[in-house]
Amino acid sequence: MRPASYIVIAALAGFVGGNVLQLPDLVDKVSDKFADKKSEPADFWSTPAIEGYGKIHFVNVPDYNPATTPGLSNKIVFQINRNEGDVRQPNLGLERVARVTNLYYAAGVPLDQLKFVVSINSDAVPAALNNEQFRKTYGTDNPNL
Amino acid sequence: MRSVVSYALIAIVGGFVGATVSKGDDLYQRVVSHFSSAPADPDGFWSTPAVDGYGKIHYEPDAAFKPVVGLSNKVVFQITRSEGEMTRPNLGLERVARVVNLYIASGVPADDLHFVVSVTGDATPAMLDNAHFQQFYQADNPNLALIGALNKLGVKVSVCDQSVAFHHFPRAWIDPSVIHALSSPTTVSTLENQGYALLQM
Repeated sequence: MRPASYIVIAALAGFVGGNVLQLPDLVDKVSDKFADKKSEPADFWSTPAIEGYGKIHFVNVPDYNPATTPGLSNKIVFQINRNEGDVRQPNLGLERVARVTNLYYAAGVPLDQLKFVVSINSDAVPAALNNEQFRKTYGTDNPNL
Repeated sequence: MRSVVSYALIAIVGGFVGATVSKGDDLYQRVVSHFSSAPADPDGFWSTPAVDGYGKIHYEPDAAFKPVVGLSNKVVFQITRSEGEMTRPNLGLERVARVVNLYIASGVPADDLHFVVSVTGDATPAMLDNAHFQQFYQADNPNLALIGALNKLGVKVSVCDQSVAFHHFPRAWIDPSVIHALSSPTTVSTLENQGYALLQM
């Protein structure tokens, strides 16, 4: 009986030991995933039109550029039907709309020439609740307003 | 009396085993036929008439809603995903090649095609030049020959500079055969505002 328990204890210890040795590696893997390893200069990202939302890295280019293409209607309908990530953060679809707005503006299209309409449906609908109802449902202010 | 009961039991068990075995064969056959190849296609069933070796098609001359000469034939293709192995061409690009093959097989000359590909999101690494693709994937970039073949037919391939930035790729790492665009959404909206049809790949 005794030798059997020794073997069991040894096996368990070996297993734990092996995992502990692996641990730094695992931690590295996890932190690598989340850390912004390559640090960009402070002005790399900007939000020229919608401050704080939909960050862009603007480098002007001639092709498929709304500002250098004459005669565009600049009419866009954005459909948002999903709800990804944390509900306490702005809806990612809305962030993308902000990104497109920032890009049009940075490229040189005046804001009053943008005919942008956002259509929210399905899983994204709670993001359009008023603050009082949003608080009732999620216990926090609506970050989309 | 006892022996009669035993015989009966043996018979029942034997019958059961026999039935299971014969059923088993049936099952086996079903599994085999499931995994064995479908009826073989005759030679010439698949072809790649315009983009040699990419985006194989089976052309049916009497199919409905075929592309025709006289339309604007303006199409913007958006590719956002990276499916399958990185050592194979991006499946979205293969689908673009398939559409090109179908238009040309239908009789629309390559000169009449106004096709723009907009690559973004997870598909962005497929646009790296060979040296940097090698660095990440230890293999030659299998998309460059396909992009070259598309370019030769006048199909333009562009990349979303926002995705390039989010991937931390310096702009110069993108292959010179690929056009830099502000972003994929602005490429699609700019082109849709000019009458292009959007095909999500």
